[in-house]
Amino acid sequence: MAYNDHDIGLMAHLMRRAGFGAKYDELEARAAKGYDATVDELLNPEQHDNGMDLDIAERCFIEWSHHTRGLPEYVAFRFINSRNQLEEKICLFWHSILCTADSKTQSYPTSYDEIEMFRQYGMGSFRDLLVQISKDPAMIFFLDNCLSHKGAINENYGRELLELFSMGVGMDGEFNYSEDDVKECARAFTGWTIANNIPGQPYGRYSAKFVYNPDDHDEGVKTFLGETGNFDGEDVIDIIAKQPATARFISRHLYSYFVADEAQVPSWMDTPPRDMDTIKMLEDEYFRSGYDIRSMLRVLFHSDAFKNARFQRVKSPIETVIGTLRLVGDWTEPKPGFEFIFDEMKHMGQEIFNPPSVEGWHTGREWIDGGTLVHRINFTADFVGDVKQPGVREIIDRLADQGPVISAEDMVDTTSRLMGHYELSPETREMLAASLKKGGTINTDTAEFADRVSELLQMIVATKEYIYA
Amino acid sequence: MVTATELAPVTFQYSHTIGRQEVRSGNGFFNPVAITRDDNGMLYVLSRGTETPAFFPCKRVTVFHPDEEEVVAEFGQKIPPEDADETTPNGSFMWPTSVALDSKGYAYVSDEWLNRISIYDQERGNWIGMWGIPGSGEGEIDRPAGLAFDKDDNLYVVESRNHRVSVFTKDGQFKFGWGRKGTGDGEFDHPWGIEIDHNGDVYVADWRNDRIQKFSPDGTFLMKFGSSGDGEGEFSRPTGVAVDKDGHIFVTDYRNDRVQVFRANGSYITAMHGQAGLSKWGAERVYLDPTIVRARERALGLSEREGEFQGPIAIEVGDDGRVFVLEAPRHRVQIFSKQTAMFAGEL
Repeated sequence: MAYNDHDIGLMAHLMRRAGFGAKYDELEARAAKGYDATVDELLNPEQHDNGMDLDIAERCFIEWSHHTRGLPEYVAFRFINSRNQLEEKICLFWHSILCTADSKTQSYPTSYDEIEMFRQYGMGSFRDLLVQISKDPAMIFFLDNCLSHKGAINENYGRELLELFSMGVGMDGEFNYSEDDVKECARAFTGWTIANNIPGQPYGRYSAKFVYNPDDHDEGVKTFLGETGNFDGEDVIDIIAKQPATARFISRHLYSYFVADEAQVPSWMDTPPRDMDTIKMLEDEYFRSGYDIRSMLRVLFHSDAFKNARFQRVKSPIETVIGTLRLVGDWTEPKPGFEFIFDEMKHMGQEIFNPPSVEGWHTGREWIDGGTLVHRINFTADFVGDVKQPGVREIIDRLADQGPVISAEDMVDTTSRLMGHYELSPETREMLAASLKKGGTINTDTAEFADRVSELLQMIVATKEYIYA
Repeated sequence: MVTATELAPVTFQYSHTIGRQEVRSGNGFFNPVAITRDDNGMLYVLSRGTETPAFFPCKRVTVFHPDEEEVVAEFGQKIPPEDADETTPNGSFMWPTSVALDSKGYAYVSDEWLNRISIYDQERGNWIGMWGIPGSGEGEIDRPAGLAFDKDDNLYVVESRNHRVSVFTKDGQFKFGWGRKGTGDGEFDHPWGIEIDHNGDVYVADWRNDRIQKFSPDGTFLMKFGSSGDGEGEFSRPTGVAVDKDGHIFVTDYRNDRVQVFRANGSYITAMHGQAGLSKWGAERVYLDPTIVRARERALGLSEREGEFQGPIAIEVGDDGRVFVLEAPRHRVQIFSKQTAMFAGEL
């Protein structure tokens, strides 16, 4: 179908949010397919091949075999290369909310199982996802449910399930649950534990396995969120899933991740959503669809609130790194040197598989400080400044196609468009154009032209505008 | 009249396991990818290692005796990825993939990233030379994977990205080759392992085509077997192939976590799934730390889970009936003896 510049801009926005960004040729191809068709494709990854040669990658990176090592690299390779971008973005979404950390679990095979669970259940029923995360061996170990026994509960998982995974402490100034609810919740999950796992020595880590121990399950009557019965974990999750607070909590998370930065989670009890109309729309879809995340996302991506919310989120470090690599077209196939990328993400403040706490990462402007900003700019400038990168080369060639001479203003406008329709402020645009003019007339057919483009790209990624998605 | 009746085609007696995860050097391996054996029975295991700077030198060839379980030599040198280019120092590895021994016992190691064959002497693995010109032309190599010498010391090199087999003299002079990308007879898709049997015939693990192909020494196609899947005679990315003196063909069925055994005509006999126990080198590490000992005692299903093959990647079989299965993610070799049940007598 025919498309125009507006369609490309909207597609760039969609792919930054429902994915990790895209090169201009992919934006054109998706725009030709249409917005609705692209949303459908993103929402239904099981209907498509992911387009990756993962077996080749696993062959080159032998340590990915059985995921005993190299899991961050494996996941990042998928983020960069999967055609099913939303499927990958959802894995990161849930990893950022239903948090476990390898610093405690110390088992990449178990973390791999968790990520695959997010891949399988991440866009399905939220109720089912809560059941799965409650049986997730990494979570059971991370939040000590394996230490919670009949008659001697450990409240850790029960508390975080309510506070950080489903309902939140409070809503509209009111508490969502009581301390007694936490204890009763923990009682319901007694017996949900893991088998003693094989230690990492001498043959490396093995994945942990969930087991239900009926002898250690508290069969007594429990009163939870106003309901009384002989509840087990799934009963408690059924009760949680139907709470208005749960609809609000998930809606705010979806909004913050896909639309615009919200306040930090701990303040949600007293801080109303920045866009109550959209949150209400998502809450309604949550109940209408039977807690279906895919349905909520469909409503979200088709909403005006989403379409109009361009550049209202600060990119996370992972979005910055992966998005830049996708922009320049690097790491489309395996090669040495992948590990250093994770140091970069870490220095920018986001180490995958190691969120700072069960609360996950604080987002929005909290991603940025003097140190992390320098790392962002240095990393992105290094990559976009490399004229050998295929994505950079494509930008150079498209600019050259405009004619033998290009004005500074046109070069700034076209370049920011080719990078994904970044919207530069008049001041930034003027500053960039002025810098270009210092180099004299811009002749696109000279040997120096590529360097001038790369310098401009480096200046653009150093602007405030590039920080936002 | 004397006859021999094959009662049960072939069975395997588990012997022992050698190895442990060892990220630096000494008694163990780290993501091992290739195994071979010299005329004295010494095993050579090639560890692919990892890029992690702290794990140095994790890319290496370990030479050891399979019964005495003593390391007698190590060679090869890890380099950081930023130095993995045409200036890489002699003897260094980036993506080492296979090791083969010539008639004098010199070790030849392929490197899929550096596109070179490095040569080490038979004493303590001193680097003595290398060859390899990257490219897709005749005599050039792209992603050299499996290596095998014939009885005349010609080196058969599997080139995974050129999808072919090239034959060189041991000092790198190109002789002939065959193959191209495809699924037809004599065509390959990212081939990996290679074996030359007692007759000089050549077997190639046609990795992405999930099959084994057999050729005459000059590359004439003879037969093929296998298809994609996890049933009997099916493969999921076969990596290694070995043939014993009885003509039995052993294939490491990498993603199916098993070794399959076939008759000389390619018909299926049986599958091996692994029986690993605690190795001597593993015990040395485990008994240093009582918490690990206790954790192993408590671990549910340890013997079953730990015993199973995971990622069997290369295999070596000897005329003595011994079978050596190398597992990449478990950093070990499981050793078996082949037992053929035969009734011999007068009927």
